[in-house]
Amino acid sequence: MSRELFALILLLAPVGCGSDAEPTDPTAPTATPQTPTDPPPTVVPSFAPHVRFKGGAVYANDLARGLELDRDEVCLELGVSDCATEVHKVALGGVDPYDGGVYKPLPEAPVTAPIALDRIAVSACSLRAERDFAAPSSAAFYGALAQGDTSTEARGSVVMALYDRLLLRNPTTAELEAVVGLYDELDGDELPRRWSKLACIAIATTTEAAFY
Amino acid sequence: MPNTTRRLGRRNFLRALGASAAASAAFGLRRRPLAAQPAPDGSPYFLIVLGASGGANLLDSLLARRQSECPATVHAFPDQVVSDIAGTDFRAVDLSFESLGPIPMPFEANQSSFVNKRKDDLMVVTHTGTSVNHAIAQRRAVTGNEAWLGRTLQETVAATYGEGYALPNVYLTEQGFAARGLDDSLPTYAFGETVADPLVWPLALDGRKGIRDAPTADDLQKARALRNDVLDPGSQFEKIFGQAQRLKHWRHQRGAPQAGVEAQGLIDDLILLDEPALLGSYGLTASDDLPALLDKFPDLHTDPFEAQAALAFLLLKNQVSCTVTLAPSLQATINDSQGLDVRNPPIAFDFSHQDHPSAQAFMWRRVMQVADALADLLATVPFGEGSMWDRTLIYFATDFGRTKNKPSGASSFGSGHELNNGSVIMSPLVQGGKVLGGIDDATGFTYGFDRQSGAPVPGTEMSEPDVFAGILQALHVDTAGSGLPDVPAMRRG
Repeated sequence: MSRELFALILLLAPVGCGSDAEPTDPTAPTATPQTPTDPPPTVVPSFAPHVRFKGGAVYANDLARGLELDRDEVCLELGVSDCATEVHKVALGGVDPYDGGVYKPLPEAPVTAPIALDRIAVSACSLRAERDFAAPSSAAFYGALAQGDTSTEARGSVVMALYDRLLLRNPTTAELEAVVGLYDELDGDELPRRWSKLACIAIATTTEAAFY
Repeated sequence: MPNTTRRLGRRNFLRALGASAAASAAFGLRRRPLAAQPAPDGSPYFLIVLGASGGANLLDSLLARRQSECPATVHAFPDQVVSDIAGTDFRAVDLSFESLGPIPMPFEANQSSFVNKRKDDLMVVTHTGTSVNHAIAQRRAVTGNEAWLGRTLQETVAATYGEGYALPNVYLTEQGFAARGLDDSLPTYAFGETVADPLVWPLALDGRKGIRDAPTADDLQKARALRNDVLDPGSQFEKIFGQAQRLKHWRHQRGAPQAGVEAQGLIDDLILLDEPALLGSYGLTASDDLPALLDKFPDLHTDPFEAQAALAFLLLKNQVSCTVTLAPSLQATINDSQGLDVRNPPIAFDFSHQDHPSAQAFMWRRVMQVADALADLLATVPFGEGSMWDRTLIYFATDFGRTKNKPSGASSFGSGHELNNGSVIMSPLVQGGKVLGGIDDATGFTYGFDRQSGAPVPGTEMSEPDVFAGILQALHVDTAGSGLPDVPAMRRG
């Protein structure tokens, strides 16, 4: 499918965000864009590329807002303790002066940091998908897929929404096609549900999502 | 020093677990080879740095003096409480106290049983440090005062033996004993992984296990591959900022190191939580070694030092790490469920500022118990033709000694920081039963020894690089070309 056709289909596709819930944060996007936005052909790398890790708390807050989840349900280890601000707090750049004697953030991300970040995203994305597939009529992202529409257009609409909500921008055409195409790499049962989780996880754990 | 009180059951996680139970009945390239004096069979040796935080004074343990031997103003014990340990140069002190300094809690501290049991593996190395600042002195205890390009003992051992280990160097404490070294030429895997809480840290060893409705491992790998191979490399963010050190490091960590950790399925091997029903409901299980660990460390769920030791054992046993570092907290651990039961005084050995004799006795008992239990456990793990203990060295690293003097005849007094001291090392790899150097009864100060023979040499002092070199050499780490002294007196055979 050509990029032009793909974009046209998206233009014509219905909005994939069927949630009744309205974003409460005024800075949150309020409408799902319908076309990918390609970058300029030439991008100049920063000569002084300084970035900062969001840290667990901010990351989880962003996920909660983007996926329309309550902050407290984003990720609870063993159902009882918050991943970002308790269990994986130090690995994710936090301090733990009173209990762990950790007075300064670790100088470098430990091996467990990206794993912990994945856990938060896996938890939140899985919850979002399960919830939407359980109640398609009030789904936030995956309503169409939950109702059996696994078309390229439906998936494209979901990807547009995920980029808008999680990265606050439109995907490029290449990004859109890549995430939509992930569906075709999956075998077995429950492909819509599984793809819904994986698309979310892949986008939510990009470096762009975790650093600023 | 912080001295906030830490109470057992303080962690929200454990509190929440308790509530839940009631309701439902975690490559670089080696620049040059290190091993010209390689391990005899090429297999690894293991280093445990047991931080005796706050100043563990040898005059209060294996170098104890009798009052009849010393001036009344030098710290010594009543003659009858000091035992000579047969066949060795060691002494031990068995004491009982009515209080731990100002804390009205009677306790007994028996050292003789431990020293008698471990005498063949125990060695004392006298030396004089270079700092009485806790953080600086702790760092120098593991770098030998930057003796070898600023690398730490743990990093050197990890660089030598850790390739292929998922997490070769793990720090279970965040004190100076866990300082990052300065030698960036070491392979990245040599630098330590910090564990803030041993009870819950293993949950960070897998991206999906224990999460309800999570994708399968194969599916998650597809999402990661899409992210790593397509989305990130193609994003404008990465094209602009991709050379940022933090991003490069992040991408590295989520590559081979992460894959190595997850491939071993460590999460189930290392979980110490004793909540089988709850764990089971999340598809997890506690370590098979938990019963044995609870036997040795019965308070591991409430005492952070015991939890560190338990996880340290599992990391070594499961070949996750070749060096671990642990240390008692600088915060008070108080079990207030059964009267006043202090497990760890505030600021650990440094509580000696309040009352030296009781604080030292209490803390020596604490570190000896943990070292003994670790050695017992490692002796049960077959390794080669022997056990893991046969290839392990426990270094009782400490900041410094304590002042040697006291008010004439006093039995209770506070002490300050003193450079002169020594270190206890416990391992089948060292000259067991030996005190390398000696002690001047007139002053309580230790003196040095001949590096070849170990013979005491009054009037001399050993230094931090001597201890640093001797430990590495006992662990068969090649120190040729490092500029470190050769200290054959510290190694066996």
